Amino acid sequence: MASTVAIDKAAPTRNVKYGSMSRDRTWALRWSYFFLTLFAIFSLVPPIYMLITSLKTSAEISAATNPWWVFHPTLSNYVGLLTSNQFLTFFRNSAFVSIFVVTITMLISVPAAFALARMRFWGSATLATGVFLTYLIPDTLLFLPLFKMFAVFGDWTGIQLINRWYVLLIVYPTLTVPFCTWIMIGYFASIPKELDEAAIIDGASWFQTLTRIFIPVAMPGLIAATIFAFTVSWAQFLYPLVFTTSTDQLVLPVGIITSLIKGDVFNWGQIMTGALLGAAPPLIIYAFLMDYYIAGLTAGATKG
Amino acid sequence: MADVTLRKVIKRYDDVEAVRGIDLDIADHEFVVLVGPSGCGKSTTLRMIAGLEDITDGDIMIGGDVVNDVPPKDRDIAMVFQNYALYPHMTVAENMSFGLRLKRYPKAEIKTRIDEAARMLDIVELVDRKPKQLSGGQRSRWAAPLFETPRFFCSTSRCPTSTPSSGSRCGSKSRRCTRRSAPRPFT
Repeated sequence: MASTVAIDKAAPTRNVKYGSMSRDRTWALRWSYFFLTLFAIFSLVPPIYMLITSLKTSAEISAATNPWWVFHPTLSNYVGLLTSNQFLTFFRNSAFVSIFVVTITMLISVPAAFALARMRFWGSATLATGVFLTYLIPDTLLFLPLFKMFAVFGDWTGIQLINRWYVLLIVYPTLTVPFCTWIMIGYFASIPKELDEAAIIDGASWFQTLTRIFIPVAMPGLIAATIFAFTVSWAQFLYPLVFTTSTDQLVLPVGIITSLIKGDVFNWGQIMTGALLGAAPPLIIYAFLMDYYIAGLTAGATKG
Repeated sequence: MADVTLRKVIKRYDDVEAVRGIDLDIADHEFVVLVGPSGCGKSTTLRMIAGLEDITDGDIMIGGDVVNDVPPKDRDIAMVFQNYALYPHMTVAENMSFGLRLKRYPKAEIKTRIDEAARMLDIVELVDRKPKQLSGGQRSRWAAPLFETPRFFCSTSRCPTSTPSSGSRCGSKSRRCTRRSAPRPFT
């Protein structure tokens, strides 16, 4: 509103209220801080509750005391989990699966996005939309046919995929590849056409244009896609619950609930500890990549 | 270094005729300027010479050879784009040497050529900066990859007309470059 008034050349004599801009801004800031605080509280309460509970003994958790305070802090839950081979196996499986899935996803979606964004071939636009549509099919709908598929595949070839952690390396990319490809198409499309034309004149092949120009220029997008792929494969619950059952094949989210809930006995202390420890790697990776992400965005933005 | 000849070159997009049969002879070392209202096909003509656009009909010859189906990299041309098209993640020196590095020139030779070009363009102190750290004028000064000694040099940049000072600079640079290497049509 204020800016419209300021550039209204048809009415130069009108009494423009200077300062209304900053008043608007002040209120906008107040409102944003209000909602940001609200949202921060909303999203921080569960992890804080997890932390508090993880420091309690089972006796204290079940006692009817103030749940928001630790009266006898103990690290026994942490010691218990970190010394249990089972938990470390879950952790290792999760790490393997996530790292491999991120690698596979990037190896597929980056070249795919490059081809769909830049090499205009017959049906490329339809294909790009199709890639995104596959992402819209929910995993709750897909796990049954996928299970059947792996079972039949096992019968035919004798290669047993069900109840092996590496079956997830085939399943997870169905979730991560479409979305990452879509993100990367957007990033690649925003790179000016002249840049690849310049590369073509410089004598670069398609592959060199991708690796020497597009990937470095689209690094922030690449990192966003990596974070997404990692988060999805680290936190995925339904597929590992369906496809893996033996304790040595389980990943963290499924492992925690199957090994720490025995019948109707919930070992809350260790469940919370496990959830907290499980949430740590994405947080650490995110914090680390965030710096890089911002650095990539602002590099060279200032003069001198 | 070569002369460039266009014979009845036509460019048609679906139902729009962008270039309607242009005949053009550019002699070796000649400095040519294409002038015209926007949309009249200046850039398209240059892009066809560079090989970035296929031609619908006619012939383009560089040094006497028909290059209609020769890919851009084998035409041995250099081109400056209207918005310079600098690689944002590389320094000035890396930008300048990208083509040479792709062609696997020895490192020592790349360095000599870059140093020479930087001196000629008066940008020695800028070679370690990235495009964003340069002013518009500084960008236009080195956007021209003069050190590659191409057979032919296209520029769609408007640098000769942008400001009087950079105009004279660029003009003299172009003339120097013309003497040194290749014919060079501007639009």
